[in-house]
Amino acid sequence: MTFDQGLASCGADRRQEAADPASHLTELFRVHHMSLVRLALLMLGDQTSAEDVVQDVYARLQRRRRSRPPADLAAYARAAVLNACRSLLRRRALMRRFVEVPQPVWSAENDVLIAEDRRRVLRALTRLPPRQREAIILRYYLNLSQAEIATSMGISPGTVKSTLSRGLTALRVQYEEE
Amino acid sequence: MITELLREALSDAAATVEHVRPLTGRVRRRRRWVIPAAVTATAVTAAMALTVVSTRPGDVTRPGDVTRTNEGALPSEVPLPMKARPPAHAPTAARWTLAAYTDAKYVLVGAGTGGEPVAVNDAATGKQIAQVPVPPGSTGYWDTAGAGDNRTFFLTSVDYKRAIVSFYRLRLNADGHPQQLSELPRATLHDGLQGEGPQLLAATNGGTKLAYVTETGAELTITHGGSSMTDDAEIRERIHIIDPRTGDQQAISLPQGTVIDELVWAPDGRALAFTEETPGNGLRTLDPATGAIRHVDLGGDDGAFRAADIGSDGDIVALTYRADGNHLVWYSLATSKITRDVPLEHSHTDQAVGPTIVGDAAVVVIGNTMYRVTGTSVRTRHVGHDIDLEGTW
Repeated sequence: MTFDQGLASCGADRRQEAADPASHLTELFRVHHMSLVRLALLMLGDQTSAEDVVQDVYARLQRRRRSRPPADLAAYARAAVLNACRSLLRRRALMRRFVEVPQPVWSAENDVLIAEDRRRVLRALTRLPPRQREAIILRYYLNLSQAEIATSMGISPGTVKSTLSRGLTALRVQYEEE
Repeated sequence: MITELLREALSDAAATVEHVRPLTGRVRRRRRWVIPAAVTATAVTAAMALTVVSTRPGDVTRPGDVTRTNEGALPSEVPLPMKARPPAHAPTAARWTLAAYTDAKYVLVGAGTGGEPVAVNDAATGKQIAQVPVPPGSTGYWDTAGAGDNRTFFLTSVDYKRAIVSFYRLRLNADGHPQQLSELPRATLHDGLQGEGPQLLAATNGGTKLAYVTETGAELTITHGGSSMTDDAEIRERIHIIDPRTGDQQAISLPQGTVIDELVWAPDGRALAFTEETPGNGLRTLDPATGAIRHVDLGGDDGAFRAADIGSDGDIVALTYRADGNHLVWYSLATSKITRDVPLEHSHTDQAVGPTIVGDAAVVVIGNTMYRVTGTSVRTRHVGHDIDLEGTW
């Protein structure tokens, strides 16, 4: 079962969701914990930060349970994690002069098994603005449709199209410069 | 095609995640940015400029909204029918716990996720002794605090629809099995939901006073299929001081946007220490008699503060980070001065649990190393991943 298939199946049982939407949502986080960490890793680069983000979102959801259920649990889970990634990237940008950001898994210093040409494209991806990076990850990692990306990012489908187009153009340029 | 290469690269990078830390409802391990002290002052200047004046070292604030209530018509205690369940799982291999190192015999685990029973575990082995069932109709246990004797604990449950926080007292027999579980109706709070972060509930020694953090204005909203959480600036938190026997309640409103956690009482109940997470970051104390909140100056930058405990002598022990590494700092509430400063080894991690005061020593775990500090003597022990750091004792 893929990430989205799994999330979709979790969101399918509306009767259960209506009975206890918050616990259903937190159960979804538990079941798809690794998928969400992987998504966060692609945004942030390192697993520790990715785990922290998913953990923080989960803990905050536990504290801010409300009776109103999200219309789409899958989109909700993705959006919550992506929002948190965006916040962390903003903080990192602000604090970069003062703190040492963890080495991403695709850095030359990191001893993980990723071929060099793929490392190049990943390094190029991190040079893109977070919104473009986000759209590309949702499209080419999760294989989401434009409508689904729009839902996850909270933007219109038209904006998704232009963001993806600009992102891919910028990615090619960055890749050549790597 | 770059898109094909992109797909393969993303897939490869995602596949580097093979194992993940389990999710927990509360965060006991504090993870903060480790910022060299020399540059921290610059980095936090903008944030501190937004901080209320009262957070400057030595300043004292008297919150304008201190309210007192008493639910005198209600019974002070309602014993609940309780048949403690046997352990849910077969005993597992012995697992060393931090609670055992602090001389506790029993540790309460499992609160914070709601809906599930709390377990009483043997602190020495980590084995489950019994489960405390969830009160009928409640959402389960969300917060726990010990009353200092390792036999009496306080717990909360939350009714989200009606914004009600209920309190319970659990007493254990000498063998660790639950003796009595009582609801404390006079302690019930009706004006907001629980706050955020770890240790929102604290009890004095003997359980004569409780402190609890509630908040309003923290919303989780769904818009156009997206979602967002309210900015911290919209949040309004209150500290509630509750006498569980009489129902006397005092609520101290914090400035809007102030988010706090990690409450810890002085054992005699004359001071409450807590961590301000935003807009500033640092250790604060509350005098419950006056409602005055004081900044605790630990001799470094606020951003370097991690966590604290208060001993029976009224002195605070705080873990701070400075350019030369971690320090345990003893601070006298009576004189508002640092009385001892013990440097620990330089650490490459900012994950820490504690400090916890144990007799005349302070214990803290940083990364995979446990430090026990007595006087200025530091003993270390490598704890690896075999130690269980969770729970209340």
